[in-house]
Amino acid sequence: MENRSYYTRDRNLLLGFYFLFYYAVLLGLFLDDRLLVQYRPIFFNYNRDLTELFLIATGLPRWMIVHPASFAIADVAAFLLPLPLLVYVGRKGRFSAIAGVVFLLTVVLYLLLADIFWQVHYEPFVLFLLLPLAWTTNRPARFYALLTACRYYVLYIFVSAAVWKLARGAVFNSQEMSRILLLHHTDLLTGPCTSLTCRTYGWLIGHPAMSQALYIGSALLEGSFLTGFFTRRWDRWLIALAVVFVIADLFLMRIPYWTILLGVFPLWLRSPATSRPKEKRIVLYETTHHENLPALLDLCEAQFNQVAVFLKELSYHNLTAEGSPEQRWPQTDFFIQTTDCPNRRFIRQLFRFVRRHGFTHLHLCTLDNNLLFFAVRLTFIGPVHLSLTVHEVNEYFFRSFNNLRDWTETIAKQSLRRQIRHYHFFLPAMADQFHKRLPGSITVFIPSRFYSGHRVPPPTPPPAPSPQKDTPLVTFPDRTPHPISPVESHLSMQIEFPKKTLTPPFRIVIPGSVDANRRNYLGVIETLKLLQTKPIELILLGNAATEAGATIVTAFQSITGDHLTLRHFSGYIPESTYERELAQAHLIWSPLNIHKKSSRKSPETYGLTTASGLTADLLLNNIPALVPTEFIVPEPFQQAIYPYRSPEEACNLILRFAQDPAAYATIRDKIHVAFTCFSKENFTAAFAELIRT
Amino acid sequence: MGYNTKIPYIFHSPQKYANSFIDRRPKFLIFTQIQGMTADGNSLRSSYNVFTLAIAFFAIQGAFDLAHSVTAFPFVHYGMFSEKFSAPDSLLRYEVIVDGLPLSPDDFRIYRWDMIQGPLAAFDKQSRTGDFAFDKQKIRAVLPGIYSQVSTNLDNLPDLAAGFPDWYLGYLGRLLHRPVYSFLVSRAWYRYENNRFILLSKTPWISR
Repeated sequence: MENRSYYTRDRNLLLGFYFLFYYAVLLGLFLDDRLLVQYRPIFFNYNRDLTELFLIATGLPRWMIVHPASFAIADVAAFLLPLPLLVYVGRKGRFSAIAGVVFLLTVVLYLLLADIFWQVHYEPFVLFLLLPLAWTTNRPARFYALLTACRYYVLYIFVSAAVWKLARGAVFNSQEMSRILLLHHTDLLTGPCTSLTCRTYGWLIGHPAMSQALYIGSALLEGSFLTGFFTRRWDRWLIALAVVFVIADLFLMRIPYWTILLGVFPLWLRSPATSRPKEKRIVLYETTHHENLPALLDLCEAQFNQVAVFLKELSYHNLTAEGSPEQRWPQTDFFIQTTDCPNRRFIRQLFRFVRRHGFTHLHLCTLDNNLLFFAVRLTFIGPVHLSLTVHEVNEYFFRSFNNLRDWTETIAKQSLRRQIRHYHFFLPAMADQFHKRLPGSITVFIPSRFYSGHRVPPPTPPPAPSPQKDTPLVTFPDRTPHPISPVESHLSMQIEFPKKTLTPPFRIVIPGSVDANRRNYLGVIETLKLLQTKPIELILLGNAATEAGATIVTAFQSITGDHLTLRHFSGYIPESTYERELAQAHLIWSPLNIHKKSSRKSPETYGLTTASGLTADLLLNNIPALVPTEFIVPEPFQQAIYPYRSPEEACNLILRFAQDPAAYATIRDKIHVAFTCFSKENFTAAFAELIRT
Repeated sequence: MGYNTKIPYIFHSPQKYANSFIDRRPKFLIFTQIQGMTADGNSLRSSYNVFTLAIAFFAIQGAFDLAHSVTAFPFVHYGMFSEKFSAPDSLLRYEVIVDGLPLSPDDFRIYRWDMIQGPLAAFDKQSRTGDFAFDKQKIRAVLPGIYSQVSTNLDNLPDLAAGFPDWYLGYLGRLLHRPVYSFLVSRAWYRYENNRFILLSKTPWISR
């Protein structure tokens, strides 16, 4: 059963690929007036083919000439007979042997008739008969065995052509190609011959050495397919050579031999049994949401023989605040996309890497751009297990047709939903919500990171109220030197100094970009106005150097004073700074606008269809957090999250934390205990489900 | 830096990644997608019948390849211009004039031009061979009993020669998507000499 999902996918791919070619051929016949009903022949030919001779002997061609309506019936059958096959597969999820055999016989009959009546030269169409044999079985092993046989046939086509050229001595005939051109293009050459192609043919005929070199080149090209009998390693190159062959055949011989490219399918496809190595190897692709990688990397290192991560330079430098990523995950290889490397090039190399090194799994940690590009590449990725982290459930199902990007993304999402069956979420509610929308999918909840006690400093009670009123102190977070990453140099921090501070302040951190779409800062301001009796240090832990951010900062600045210190940041905050600020906080405040719009304007609900970065931030420490009451509190986080309905309620909660150090310490102890459930061991099973093939 | 401590790859190409293993982890298999005959053999063995059929198919294919001029669809030759061509004495061209205007291959897509020329060549061959008399004679010699039963089916309709010009007139109309009132097909023979085509003779063949 392990290979069943690959089989289903490969079977559908074969159907798609085959009928794309099949109907393209029929369309071509129609456009060139080559359908039987368009030709309406009055005589048949002998082509020295025993099968054709048998058909002629049955009297069918003669009967058809006498009854021309039969040509229309043959054409209609060719167009419509695939439908029962496709409908059956669509409904039942498996092949109907009867429909498969009937279709196969129809194709055979049609090709024979076409050759008998107007000499279709059916050599390139033989694969149109062989590939449908795969539809006469529902056994994956047999299916792949048939495709393997087809692959050998494709190799045989080319190799036998080379052998013929060699055996008949054509490659040794110095005039061979020029004579072929002479005979083949007589119609063109004896006319005005003013076109570039005609003059090229003339030149080649007049230069036999050059034309023979091309002929020998084509024989070598055909002969190179011999390698395919010994290894599949070069199959992609053979596909490229087949394309070159078809193009050359078109330009040099004026033979549109493109139908033979149907043969690239068995060259390209690999049976999971043969192509999947025993070792499990995974590639993770991430763009900018690096904060969500740690848990996956921990799990990957435990369950995979090899792990590779493709990510942006910025993400790499901020993946962990503790040392470097390669020290924390020593078994993982990191591939960094520098700022001068275009996204598509990076993605192309990612797929090449997956294929070339036989990776068995590909997990897309974030997919927010180039959706169509991904959808197309994933279609042809072969037997690789795919999984995806969905950050916004509604967005993944959202359809929009306002502009070209919307169109492509809507189409791409449709394709992605069909191809990817395994999904990862940061909240259990998101997983449930998604599963309702896409029944049959595997949805698992794995947090962004695992909670580790060693990161958590001993609970530091908030400063007790002090009677001293004139102590001009501002305590700042620990200034332990830390390695400066390239991005950190762009960071600047602004501190609004109070005129005087009464006591060490109670530190509240609002993490995340300073963005009014995501957070309700007015509610925070209302609350802080009520907290005049308590010294507060407010840290806006996100980039405020935006137009919207500046407005919000100005609003906060208007209420700073003796009791309120404000710190905010401009630019990207390095992970080390970010985590340090959080570690020193007494309270995390996430004043989310529960209902928000995604970047593509789809409506999302925090806690239900999208996850806030809060769930990642919480697991860094054991600090309580304030959130609006509408936020659907994920059960595992309940111990740490304190909902509030109004500024007054928020104010009371803050005072409760700030004024009772003993109670605050107890709360942090409880959170610490509750968060121990966020261990790697507890999510191993969920991860195994995510990567199960 | 320890054995397992890796440095990140500033992205250039996976090849660099692969090469990096050569020195550092010799046990690692570079380009692991190498699939040999062994793996494929296992796959085939898993389905014995298919394996047998495939072997039989290729055996028959090989036999027909050795039989040279005869095929039995789907066992066909992929010669792809492998015949050793000698210098042609003359080259035949069917020149088609429709309603007074000659048709030129430059004005048609490849297959459409084939469909103009194909029936002429086929009809010419059918006429020259006496409706493929040689082939029928062979059948009669090899399978006399069967031939006597199906001989009528092997013949084209008797009025073909008379009916062909009218059929071709109508066919040209369908192909050109316009009414065709008259046509003339001539057989023109050329010789290729000193990089030039010399017209040897030109004979009107069919007309309406």
